[in-house]
Amino acid sequence: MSQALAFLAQREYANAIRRRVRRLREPRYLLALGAAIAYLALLLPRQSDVTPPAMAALPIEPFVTLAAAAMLLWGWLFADRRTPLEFTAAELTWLFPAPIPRRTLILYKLARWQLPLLLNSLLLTLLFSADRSPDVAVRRVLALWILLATLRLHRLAASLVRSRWFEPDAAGRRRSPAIVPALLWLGVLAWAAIDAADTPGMGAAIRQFSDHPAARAALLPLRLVVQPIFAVGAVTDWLLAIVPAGVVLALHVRWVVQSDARYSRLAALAASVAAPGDIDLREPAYERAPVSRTSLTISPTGSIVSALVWKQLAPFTRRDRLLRTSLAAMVALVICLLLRTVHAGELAAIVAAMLTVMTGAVVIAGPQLIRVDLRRELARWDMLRALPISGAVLLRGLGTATVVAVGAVQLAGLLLLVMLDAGTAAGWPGGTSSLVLRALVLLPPLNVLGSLVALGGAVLFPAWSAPLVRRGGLDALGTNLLTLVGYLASLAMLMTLPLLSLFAVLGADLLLHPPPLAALLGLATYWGTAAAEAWLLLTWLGRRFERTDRAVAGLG
Amino acid sequence: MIEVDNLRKRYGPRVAVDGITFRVAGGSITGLVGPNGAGKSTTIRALSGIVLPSSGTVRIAGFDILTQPVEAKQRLGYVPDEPMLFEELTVAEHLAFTARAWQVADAAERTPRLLTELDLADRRDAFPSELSRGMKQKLAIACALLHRPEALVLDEPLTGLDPRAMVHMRETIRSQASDGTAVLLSSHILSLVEQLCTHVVVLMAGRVVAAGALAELYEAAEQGGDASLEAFVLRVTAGTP
Repeated sequence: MSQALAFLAQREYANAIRRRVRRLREPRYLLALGAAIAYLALLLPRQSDVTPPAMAALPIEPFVTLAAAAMLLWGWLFADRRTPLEFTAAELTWLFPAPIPRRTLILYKLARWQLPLLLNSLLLTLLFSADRSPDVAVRRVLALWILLATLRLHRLAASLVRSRWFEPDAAGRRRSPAIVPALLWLGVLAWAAIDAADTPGMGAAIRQFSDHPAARAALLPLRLVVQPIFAVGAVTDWLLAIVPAGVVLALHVRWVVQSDARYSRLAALAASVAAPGDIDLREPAYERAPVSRTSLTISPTGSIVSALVWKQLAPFTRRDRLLRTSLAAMVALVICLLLRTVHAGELAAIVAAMLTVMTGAVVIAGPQLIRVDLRRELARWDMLRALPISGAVLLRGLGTATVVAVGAVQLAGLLLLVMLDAGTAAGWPGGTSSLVLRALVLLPPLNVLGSLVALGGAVLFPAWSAPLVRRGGLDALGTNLLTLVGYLASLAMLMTLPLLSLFAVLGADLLLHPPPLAALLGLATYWGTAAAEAWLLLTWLGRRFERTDRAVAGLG
Repeated sequence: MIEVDNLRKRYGPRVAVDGITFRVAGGSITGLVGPNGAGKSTTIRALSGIVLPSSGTVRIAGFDILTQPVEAKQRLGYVPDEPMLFEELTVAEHLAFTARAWQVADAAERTPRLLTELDLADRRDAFPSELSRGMKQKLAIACALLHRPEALVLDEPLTGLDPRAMVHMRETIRSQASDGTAVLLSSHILSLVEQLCTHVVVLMAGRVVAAGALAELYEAAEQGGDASLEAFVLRVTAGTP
């Protein structure tokens, strides 16, 4: 049977490669591939000689170990517990009813992950490794692959344990003892972190934390899988490091196989097919977990625009998701408050810089990055066309959902920047509060026009949107790059007039403290110009949507 | 009432529907039959406002689908052949969204009744990924019926349904027609058309090759020496005289 699975994997890879090569005859795929290659070629030479100054002072190996630990912790706290192994519909239909032992199926699925992980390791080596000699590169690729594979397996195992933990029956909790050591592990790390908190300087603090006996013990398996990346210089050192790392990886494989063999009804239930062999789906313990309902409800009458916004945002307002988001927001808030109140100097500056970059990205390209509009619904193009509303109304609803989602993320980022007082630290005139106030009045028109540009991309070039991007690969990277460049160029064009009108009224006072009357007049012109542009664009795009058939648009 | 006049739909050089004309009166059930590629789905998608006709007119309850699309769709219920549901909405949430889209004021009373009638009451909190093909089809039908449409268009409505659901679906369609709804359904299953429909339109290569009341088609079959309606349809769609 393993021969059949090997044949399946080999044919799927071969056909996927052949299909990707064949589709390069279409200009858009060729263009996307060219863009991706050019982008990577631009990146490569820069990485070998440039190390960010803040990073240069850090003890890299303990830092990577800590970063890996943070990723694992994130997995334990926030991993999706619905479909941990992510079998495809075809795999569920064909492989589950086949006479294949459950364990073989899981190993097959794990094996299928390895090629993308190896490619990622190769890419990371090319991008971040200064030493390009082939033997060192090979050792580093293998070391990185072991690290990435172990992290992925650990997150999967955590997800499986969490699935069991959140099952409605108490028996499930009794059968998932891993939660106890996980809590103990967290406690030990917290103890070491408290001990190292007083050390001045971030590099020294990380070193102090990593050398703490409790942290050394708790992070031992992680240190073992990280070590080979930094022991690539001599073959003997590398071999001495890679063997224990391989053992940790093997233990993780065993953990996942055992966990999933016990809890395998998840995937089976998802596809409404019976798992072969050892699982009895009628057992009460395997009943479906209750659906987490949305916190928002709608009445049967009222504005259709609000119903569309509700439909697009409902998935994010389910109680379990809200709980996770609130928890993450609270953790971030507490961290920012601690960084501000405790004298954290260097660390606070690094966090503020990272947060500023992330918030800046959401400010500039939020509607392109946060896809809660037509780009999520391309497969349901016909259903949307059948709704008793005009194209403009439909796009208004979908665009409003994007504006709301992007606005919420921007607000969260700004709030955290206020907590860190990043504006004052960066020398912004008037400090953080002035920066935030300006953002609040200037961002809504930017978001509205940005969401319309993103919608315009989906209406005018639907085939460039979601389906290809989800598949990954170089042409997907190129497509993302090209759509981002197109988005930014279009948005820049649309923002020109509103910004010019604002500058015409306020001039250089915009950055300082304009008189209240001039500020109001400037904002009215800015908002008014943007609103007029948005209305014209929405009307035009609505008509285009009404007249675009999915077959003609390249959606099949 | 559904009125189709000289409807034509081209996809580039390919003509999918070539000037077809027919009527579906309120209270009648018309079957749209024909082999694969005859133009059934394109016709139904044009009736639902999903594809735009290249020429000709389609009227739903008197409203032109091209010039008054919102008014026409407000009176139309459409069940696609492949129920493409919103993956992130539950069964109940699909109905809540449909209620708002069609402004169904009494949705609170109608929703549980429809869910019970279609055996979906205990699946109201399920996501589409947790439903079988038949259940998804039932949900699409529930959404189409929620606003009491004046015209109901169903593309292969019995695909994926179990025998009990098929019987139930036939009753539902009949009951809609008896309430005065104009029903148009496409199907490959001629026995279903014979059991259910009052009228039949036979398509072949985008053209109407036979149309009329079921009794008239039986008569035409008899005159042509066909032993059954099935033999008649096979003959007219094969292009033989």
